[in-house]
Amino acid sequence: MLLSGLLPLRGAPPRPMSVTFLDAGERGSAFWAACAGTVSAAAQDLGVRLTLLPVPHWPGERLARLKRHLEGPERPDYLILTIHKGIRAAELEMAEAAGVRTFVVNAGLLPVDSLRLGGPRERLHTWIGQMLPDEEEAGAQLARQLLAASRAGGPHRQGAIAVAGLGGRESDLPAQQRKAGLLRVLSEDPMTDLTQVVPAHYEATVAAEKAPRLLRRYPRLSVLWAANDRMALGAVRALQAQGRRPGRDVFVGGIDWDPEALEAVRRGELVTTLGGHFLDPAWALVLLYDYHHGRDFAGERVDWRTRLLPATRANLDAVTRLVGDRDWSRFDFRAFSKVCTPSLQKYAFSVEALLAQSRRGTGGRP
Amino acid sequence: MNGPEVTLPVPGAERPRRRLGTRLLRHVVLVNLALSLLLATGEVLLEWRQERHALQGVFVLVQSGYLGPIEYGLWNFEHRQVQVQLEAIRALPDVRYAEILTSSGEQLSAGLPSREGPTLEKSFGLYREGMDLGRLKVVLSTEGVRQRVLGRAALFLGESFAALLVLSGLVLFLLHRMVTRHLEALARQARDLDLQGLDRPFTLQRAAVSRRVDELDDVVGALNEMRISLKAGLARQEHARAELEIANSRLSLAKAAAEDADRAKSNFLANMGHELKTPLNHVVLYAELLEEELRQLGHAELVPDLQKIRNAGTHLSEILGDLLDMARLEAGKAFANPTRVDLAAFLEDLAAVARPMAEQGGNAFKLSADPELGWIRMDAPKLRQILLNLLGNAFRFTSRGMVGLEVRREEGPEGRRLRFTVRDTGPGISPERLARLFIPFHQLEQPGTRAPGGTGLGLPLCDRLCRLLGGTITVESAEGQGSAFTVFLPHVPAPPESSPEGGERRTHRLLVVDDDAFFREGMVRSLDGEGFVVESAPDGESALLAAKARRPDAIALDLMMPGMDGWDVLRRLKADPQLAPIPVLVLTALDLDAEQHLRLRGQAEAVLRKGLFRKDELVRMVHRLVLSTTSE
Repeated sequence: MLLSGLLPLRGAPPRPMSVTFLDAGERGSAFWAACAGTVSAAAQDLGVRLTLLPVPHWPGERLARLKRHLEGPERPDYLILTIHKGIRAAELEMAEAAGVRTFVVNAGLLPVDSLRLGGPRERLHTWIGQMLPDEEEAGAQLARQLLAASRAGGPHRQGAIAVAGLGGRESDLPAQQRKAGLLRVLSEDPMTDLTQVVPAHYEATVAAEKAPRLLRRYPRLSVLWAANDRMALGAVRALQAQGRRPGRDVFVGGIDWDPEALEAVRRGELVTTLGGHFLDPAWALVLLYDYHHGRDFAGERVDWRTRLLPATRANLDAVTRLVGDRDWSRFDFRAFSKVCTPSLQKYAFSVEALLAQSRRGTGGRP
Repeated sequence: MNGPEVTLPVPGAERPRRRLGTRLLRHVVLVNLALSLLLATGEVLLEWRQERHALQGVFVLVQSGYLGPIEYGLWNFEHRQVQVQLEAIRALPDVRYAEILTSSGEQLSAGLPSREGPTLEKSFGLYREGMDLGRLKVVLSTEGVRQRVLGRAALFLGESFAALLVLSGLVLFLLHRMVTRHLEALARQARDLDLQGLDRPFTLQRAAVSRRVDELDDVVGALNEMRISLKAGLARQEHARAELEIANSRLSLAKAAAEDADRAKSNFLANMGHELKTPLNHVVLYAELLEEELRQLGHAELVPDLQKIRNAGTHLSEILGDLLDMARLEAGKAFANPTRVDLAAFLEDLAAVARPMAEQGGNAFKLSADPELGWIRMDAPKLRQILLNLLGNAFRFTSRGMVGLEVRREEGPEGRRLRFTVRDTGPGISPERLARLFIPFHQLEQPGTRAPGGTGLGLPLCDRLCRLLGGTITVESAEGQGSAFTVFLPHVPAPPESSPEGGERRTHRLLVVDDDAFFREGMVRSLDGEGFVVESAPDGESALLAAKARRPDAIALDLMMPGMDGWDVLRRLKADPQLAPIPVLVLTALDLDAEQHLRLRGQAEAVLRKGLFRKDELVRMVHRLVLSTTSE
C-alpha cells in the first residue's frame, strides 16, 4: 500500500484526488485569506477534493495535528505546505513516512536543512515540488520602482539618490533575499547611495520608530525601501506625523499587497507594493493536478519561482479588485493546466495572466 | 624601736604584682597598635588602589562587552536593545548611572544621575561605519569602594587585635611562668635575708631536668656571690672596727696628752714671762735705786758698774719681750686688733719718744708726714712696736747722723696704702746680711761691731707684725750709704672722732647673710668694734625678714645658699622699694663670669671674692657703701 501510494497514478482515478493545504495563516491576515481563497477556487475548477487544515501556531501542536490528519481517514494524496521556521523539515519527513506527496509553497527550507535534504525529489521521495516567490527579484523590483519614482519626483533630486531600507528579521531567509535584491539593484546603479538597511522585524511600530531616525541621521534620504507593507505603512505614518510628505519628498514602497498598502498607493503615499504570491498554493494545486493526471511538471521544473507584481497607480484598480472582492471563482484555473488545456506547452503562472482573464471577463465558470 | 611603729616602705611589698608583665604587655600592645595601624593604613592604600583599578576594570568591561552591542543597537535604532544594554551596565558593580546621548540629540539612561558622593566617570565615543552615533557616559560610585576598603581595614584591625589579645595573654603567662614568679621568689628571698641568714643560698624553684642555664641562673649566681662577699666584707668590717676602737682610744689618750702639753707650754710661757720679768724688773729697779744711793753717798766710781747691771737687765727684759711676742706670733696666737686712730696724733706721740733716743746717740731725728693723714683703722700698739723697733735699730747703728721717719699715703697695686719709711745715715748693711735680715735669730751684729740694745729678734718680729696687719716690710741698703726700711700697710680710713652727729661715734648696722656659720661668726668678730653693729641671717628668708624689720645700713650677701639663694634675695631686695636703697655687698666663693657680673651690676653695689679679700678691705668697702648712702 505504501508502495502503491508512491507510484504516480496513471489513467482516470477511481476517485477525485485529495489535497490538504496546511493553512498556517494568521487569523485576519489578508495574504493568507487570499491564499486559501485562490487555492479553494482552483480546487473547485479542477475537481480536486481540497482540505484546508488550519494548524495551530505552536510547532508541537501543529505537528500533532498534522500527524493525526495524515494517519486518519482523511489522509490526503497530496499535501501543500509552507515550511515553518520552528518546525523546519519535520512535516516533510512526517509526510515522507506517511507516503503522502508534498509540495512546498511560499517559504522553503532553511539553508541548513537544504544542505541536508537537498531540494524536491532529491532525498525525500514524497517531496515532489516546490514553488516559492522570487524574493530577491521582488526586492530588486521594489528598488527599481522606488528609484524610478524618485527620479521622476522632481528636478530638485540631483546627484546620487540616498536610499535606506527597513529590513525584515535578519535571520529570516526571505528577508535576506529581498535585501539582496535591493543591494543588487543599487550596486548596478551608480547614481545611488545606500545609507543603511536597518532591521525592523516586519513590524509597523518598529518601522514607525526607526524611519524618522533614519531621516534624522540621513537628511538627504529620498528612498525608503521596506521589506513588507506593514513596515512601509508604519514608516509612512511616522513620517507624516513628522511633517514629511511620503510620495513627494521621500519615496516609500513595500511588498505584500496589503489592502491598506494598496490604499496608500492610491493616495500616492506609497510608490508601490509588490504582491501576487498568494496565488502560489493555487498554482501548486494546478501542477499537482497535472502530476496526478500523468503530466509530471518535472519535465519543466520541480522547483518554481514566481515573480511578484508591483501594484502601482496604473494597475491599482485591477489589483484591488483581484485582492479585494474575494470572488476567486470567476477565474478559470484550468486554463493553466496542461491536462485541462492540452494546447498549453509551457506553464505560464502569472498575476497578469489572471488579471487578463478578469479584464476579458472570461472569469467564472460558464 | 620605741614609740609609734614606723613602717618602712619595703620594695616590692605593696606595689601591684606582675609589673614587668604589665609593662611588657603595654609595650607589646602599643607597638602592635602602631604596627597594626600602619599596616592597616598600607592595606587601605593598597586596597584602594586595587579597587580603583577594579573600577577601571568596569570601564574596560563596558568597552569590551557592551560598546559593540550598543553601537550595533544605535546603528539600527534598536533603542530598546540599547536600553537593555544600559540597564546591564547599570547592574555592573559600582555603576551608578549610564547614559547615552545620541548624535541626533536623543538621550537614553539607566540609573540615577545624582552627583552625591564621590564618583568616577568615563565617556565612550560610539561609532559605526565611520558614523558618530553619540557618546556613552558611565558614572561609577566610589562609595562602595570606600565602604569595602574601610570594612576590610576594620576587619584587618579586628583580627590584629584578636591575635594581639591571644598573643599577649600567652606572653604574660609565659613571662610569669618563666621569669616574674622567679624574680618575685628571689625578691622574697632577698627581703628575708638578714645578717644571720647570709649562709642561706638563693635558689630558684624550678625543675632542673633538661633545663639550660639562663639569665635567671646568672642573677642567682650573682646574688650568691654578693651574699658571700657581703659575708666576707662584714667580717673584715668587724675586724677593722675593733682595730679602729683601739686606735681611737690611743688617739684620745694622745690628744689629751698633747692638749695637756700645749696648755702647759702656754702656761709656761705666760708664767715664765711673768716669772722672768718680775725678778728682772726687780734687778733693774734695785740697780737704779742703788745707783741713786751711791751718787748720794759719793761713791761715784761704783756707778758705771751699776749702770752696766741696769742696762743688761733692761736688755734682757727686751729680749724676753721679743721672744714672747715671737713665740705668740709663731704659734698663731696673736691677732690684729684695729681701732680708730688719729694718725697725725699717733706720729706725734711716736716722735716724742724717738727724739730723746736720737739725742742719746747725737743723731738728728726728722718726722716727715703727709698733712691731713686723718683717721684710720689700725692696731696702733703693733704699728708703734714696728716703728719703734725700726727707729731703735736706726738710732742704735747711727752715730752723729740723721734718722728720718717718712709717712705717705699712696696708691698701691691693691688699693690705697700707707708707706712708713725709716731712713738712717748709718753704716748700711752688706748684701749677704740683707738676705738673712728677717730670719729670726740671725743677728746683724757681729762680734766687735755689736751695738748695745739689740735683741736679734727685732726685724723678724717687725716682718711678722707687718704681715699680721696685712702689710709688708722691705729694706734698701748698701754698705756706707745707710739703710731705709719701708713698711707698707693698707690704708683703711675711719670717720673722725668728731662726727657730724654731735661728736658721737656713729655705729652702722650691717646684716651678714650666709649659710656658712663659721663665715658668719668670722664676719661678726671681724666687724664688731669697727664701728658696726653686725647681725647675721643664715638663709634668704630670714635675711629678708631681718632686712624689713631692722633696715640695716648695708647687707653683706652670700650668693650660694640652699633654698632661696643670693640671686633670689638680691632680686627681692631690689624689687621692694623700701629695701632697694640698702647697699648690698656680694660675698661669694664663686669665680663669677662676665655674665654674672653683668647681672649683679645695678643690683649689688660691690662684689668681693671670699677668701681673697682682707678684713681691712672689707671694712673699708662696707664703710664706703654705708657712707655713700648716708651722705645722700
